[in-house]
Amino acid sequence: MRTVIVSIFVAFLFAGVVFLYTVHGDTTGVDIASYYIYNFAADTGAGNAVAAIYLNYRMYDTIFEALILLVSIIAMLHFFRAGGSK
Amino acid sequence: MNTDSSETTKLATLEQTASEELISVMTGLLYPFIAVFGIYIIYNGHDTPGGGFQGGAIMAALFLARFIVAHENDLEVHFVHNLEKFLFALLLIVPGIFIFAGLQMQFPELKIPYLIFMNFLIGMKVALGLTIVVYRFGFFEGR
Repeated sequence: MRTVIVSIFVAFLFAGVVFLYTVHGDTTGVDIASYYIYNFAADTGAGNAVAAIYLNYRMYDTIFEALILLVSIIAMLHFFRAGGSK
Repeated sequence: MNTDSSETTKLATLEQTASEELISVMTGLLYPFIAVFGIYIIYNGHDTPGGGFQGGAIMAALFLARFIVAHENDLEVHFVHNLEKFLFALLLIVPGIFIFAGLQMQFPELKIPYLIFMNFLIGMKVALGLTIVVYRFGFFEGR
């Protein structure tokens, strides 16, 4: 029962996030992209623009990505108990 | 008739163990190559394509290979999980000090060590997480 409630809640949350994303339609524009392309080496010292963005400009993105992995593993350990040592 | 069928079963099991042993030995030979490749991808993640997440997935393939070879459930899941939580805490603290507190403006020479260290943190975290998933599914959920 609890699993069903949690599933419905997650489905609603997912629908809400998708709805918000489609409604506001916000874009960052070209300015910030060209700033990243021309300044990433001086700003962060990286040779790879992707690493510069995910480890410096968009650090929050990486933190929450790592958090998603942690939360999904916690959920897996919590919900799947078939024969496990807990 | 009866002996015939039992002999076929015996042959089949023999063949299966032989091929399993072949796979085990060949996969065991791959250990150092997987480890070196994963570390290379993580270490050069700030300069070349790759990085923490990709290298971490490759390092998880090391444990996947170990799962195929040894097939023993000797992984302390809760210890690994706590280690992963600790790595996540470091992942919050290090950028908090270095980027959000503005330390990178004062020490520009630490920028590249910071990138390498962060890639290693992310890589170890991803590798441990995927290892937990693989072992969990392989030993408990896949039965």
